[in-house]
Amino acid sequence: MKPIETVPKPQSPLREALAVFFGNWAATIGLIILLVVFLGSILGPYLYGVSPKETVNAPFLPPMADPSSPLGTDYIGRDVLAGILNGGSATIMIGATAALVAVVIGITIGSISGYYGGLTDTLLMRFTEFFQVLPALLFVMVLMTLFAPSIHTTIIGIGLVMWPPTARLARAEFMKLKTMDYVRAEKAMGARDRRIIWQVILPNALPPLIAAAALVIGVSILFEAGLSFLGLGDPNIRSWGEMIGANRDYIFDCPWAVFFPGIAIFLTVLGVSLVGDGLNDAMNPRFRER
Amino acid sequence: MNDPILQVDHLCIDFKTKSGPVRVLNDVSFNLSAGETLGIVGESGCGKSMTSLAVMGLVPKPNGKIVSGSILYQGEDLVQVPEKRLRQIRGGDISMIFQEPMTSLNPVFSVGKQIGEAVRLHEDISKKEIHDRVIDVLTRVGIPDPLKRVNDFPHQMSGGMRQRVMIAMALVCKPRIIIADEPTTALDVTVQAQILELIMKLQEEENTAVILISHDMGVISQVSDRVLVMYAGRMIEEGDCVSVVQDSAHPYTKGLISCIPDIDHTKDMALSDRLPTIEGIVPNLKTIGQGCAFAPRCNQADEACKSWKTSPIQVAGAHLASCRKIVGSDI
Amino acid sequence: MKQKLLFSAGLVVCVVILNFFLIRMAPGDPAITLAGQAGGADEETLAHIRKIYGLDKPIWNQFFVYVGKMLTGDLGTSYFYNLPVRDLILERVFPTVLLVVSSLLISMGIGTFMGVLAAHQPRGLLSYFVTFFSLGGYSLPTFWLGQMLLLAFAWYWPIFPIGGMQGFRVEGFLPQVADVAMHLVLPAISLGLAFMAQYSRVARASMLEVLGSDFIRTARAKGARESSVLFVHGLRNAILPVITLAGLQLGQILSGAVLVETVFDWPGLGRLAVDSIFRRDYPSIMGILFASAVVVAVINILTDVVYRWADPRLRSGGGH
Repeated sequence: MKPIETVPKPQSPLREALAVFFGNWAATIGLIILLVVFLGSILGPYLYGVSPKETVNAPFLPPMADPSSPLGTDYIGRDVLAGILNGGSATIMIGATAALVAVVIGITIGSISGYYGGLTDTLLMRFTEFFQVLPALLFVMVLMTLFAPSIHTTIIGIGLVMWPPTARLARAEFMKLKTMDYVRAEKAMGARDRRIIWQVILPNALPPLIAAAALVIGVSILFEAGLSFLGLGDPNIRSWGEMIGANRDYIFDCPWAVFFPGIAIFLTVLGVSLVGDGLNDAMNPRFRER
Repeated sequence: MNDPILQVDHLCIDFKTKSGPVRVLNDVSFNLSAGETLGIVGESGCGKSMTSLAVMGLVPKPNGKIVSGSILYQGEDLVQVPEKRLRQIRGGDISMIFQEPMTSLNPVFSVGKQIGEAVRLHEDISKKEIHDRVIDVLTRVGIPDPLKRVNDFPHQMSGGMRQRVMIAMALVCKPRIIIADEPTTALDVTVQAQILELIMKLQEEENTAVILISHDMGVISQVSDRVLVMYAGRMIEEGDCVSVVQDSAHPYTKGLISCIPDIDHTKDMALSDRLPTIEGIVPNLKTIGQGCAFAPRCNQADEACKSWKTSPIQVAGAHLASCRKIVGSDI
Repeated sequence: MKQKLLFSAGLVVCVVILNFFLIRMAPGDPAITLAGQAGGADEETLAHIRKIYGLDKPIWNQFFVYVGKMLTGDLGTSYFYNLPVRDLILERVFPTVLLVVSSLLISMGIGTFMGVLAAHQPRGLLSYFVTFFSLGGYSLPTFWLGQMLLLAFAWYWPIFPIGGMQGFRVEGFLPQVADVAMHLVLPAISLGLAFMAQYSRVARASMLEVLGSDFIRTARAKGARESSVLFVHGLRNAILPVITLAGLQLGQILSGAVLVETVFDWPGLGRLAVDSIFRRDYPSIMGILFASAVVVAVINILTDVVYRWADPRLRSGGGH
């Protein structure tokens, strides 16, 4: 016995997506967190002009002990607040660029796999699966030691291990969309595969892929933090993960120098995940409970 | 007639929806005696499944709610008894056979384990005895080689076999009442008759009461002692099978009966008029007013029908129907 | 099953090939790379390496020499320890497997349990908690969580040991087991929490679906208790997607183990990998990548066995 529900008024897809996104208050909170993180990373270094790289005070200074270092100092007297305000842009930039690399690789492999199907699909999906179960961190660690750690190796390394989920999603979308009538029509008119893949199917497959990309950014930020924590990041860049890694051996002497950067990473990734989840709900209702 | 073991009185059930409560069952009353078969017939959404779920104490929570009325099982009101007692009755005293044998069995347990669970829940007997009971009941429902099949998983069986397993599960605790909700709808035609026959045979052996629920007047008329016709959550006709089928009083019942395909007559008919249909669809329960719910689809209805407060009217003896036209013409 | 075995074997072979190409692609002389120690190896060692790896022969020849060596378990020599890499690794496999498996069990057990309870009342407090926890747990840096747990429960409230896997002067089998268990608690929680968060979410979603199915109604109609409906009839079906996800995430869990082992000074493969990197001990680190692929492959096969136990439809003799 299922009483018939009233049918909601039809809306434009964009307005409907926005309504879902903002109706989802978790996503709104995520957006606010991200705005705070962005503003802090852009304006922070100007408003709080303390150098993050130099010793500015006594080491092991707890938070609030000296008004000139509100969040305390680390084991060589570097200002923790300055580190957090300056480390954000590096952390986000590396995370976002690495995610971009991953998404481009993922879409390329996934779209070819989904569009052509058959043996191509089987081989590419096996390949994807290998990369998915490969212990990514160990692989990137090998890369980082064979090639000198730099911001480029970090980005490429993370990009090389983060693409499989995107590839799977892109493949699923392509398999679904390639049977659509407008794609068949293009084919019947003699369009080349390359045109169909990039100009016909991809634009339609993008919304769920964008939502998934947001989640990739979150994971990439965590990955970068892990690498830097191990001391395998670019030694010249002070990211949040690097702050934690640098103070690793002094955690009992200045826990705040580990605690605050960790909170910054946590909030940023949480913000990205909340927004990504909201986007997923808004653009891709089918995968809501994925 | 012997004392009824189940008495449903003025049962009303509301279902909560986004736009307020909807009355899915409205003033339903009927009796059931041991050994008797009651057929409940109606289109999907008429409340026949909700009636059976209510008797089982399985009205979907938290949206469904019994608003008023009582369900007396041997003098005990199932609407009032605590959940613990309901669990004893469910599967022990009253058991149920569902429509979908393909999905009603748990895919990850062997059929023997699932039947045995019913025994374990209601009787305090040893594993060995449970196993013997399971084998015995599988034999009775006609599963070949039960000693081997007992370890099979549902996916290894055909639809008919699975329905036999469902029946075995319902029978294994020797219940007083079996509710069979569209037990044959999902099965092949050839298997349908076998399953119906099986239910009836087992009913006779144990003198069990059966409530058979179906949308198919043909099935109902074959096996029922009494028939209850439902429409939009209300009872519209009730009586013994012969009088309801042969002297149906309500236009809706007449329509249902004329929908039964009759092999002897359909042979020479043109395709278009082989099977008569009832025009229109089941009404939206939200928009039903006080009047006769069938009036919009009824070819005999007039303005007065739309505001007539429905109530059962005696046609003859225990044969009742809710149609004001009976008052006008016959009496 | 055959497919899983093939996949697992393929994974190991792929890592061997990957290792070979990484050595070739690295800047500089491969012999120096294989010797490790940042090029500090003497000429005699380099000549020896060139000879055993056939580095003066054509590249395809080198390839087969390398693959053959790896697959027969000859992972080269760690010139830092002056020990075969295989022996180094075998010593470290058990702690890592212990850590990974206990985290997996904790995260799958508690995560599924929470998800099932949450699905029982989809609008209840726990359900919202699971939703938040899944996003929050997912966003926590594993290593940082470990450090915070270390600060709280080993340093501020010294309930658990600060690091390592075994205490000194513990005699007898049972006390030793208890001692290792105490050392294991914090690392296993740190590593498991993020996965627990994800599993609780997946379990909640799949349980919601399962609870709507007909066989759940059948179980209730039999008179089964609500707890039995949830944890016997529901759980066995709802856990299947969790097992699938866990199988896909084995690599991620091993990656997390590298970080957690570093935080807690856990004497496993991850610790060895990090140490080897700073010693430029390439044979060791590549051997670890190889060993971790073997670990993933083996656990992958075990996952498949568990999956077959949980879902009889996949066992032999079934339909579909």
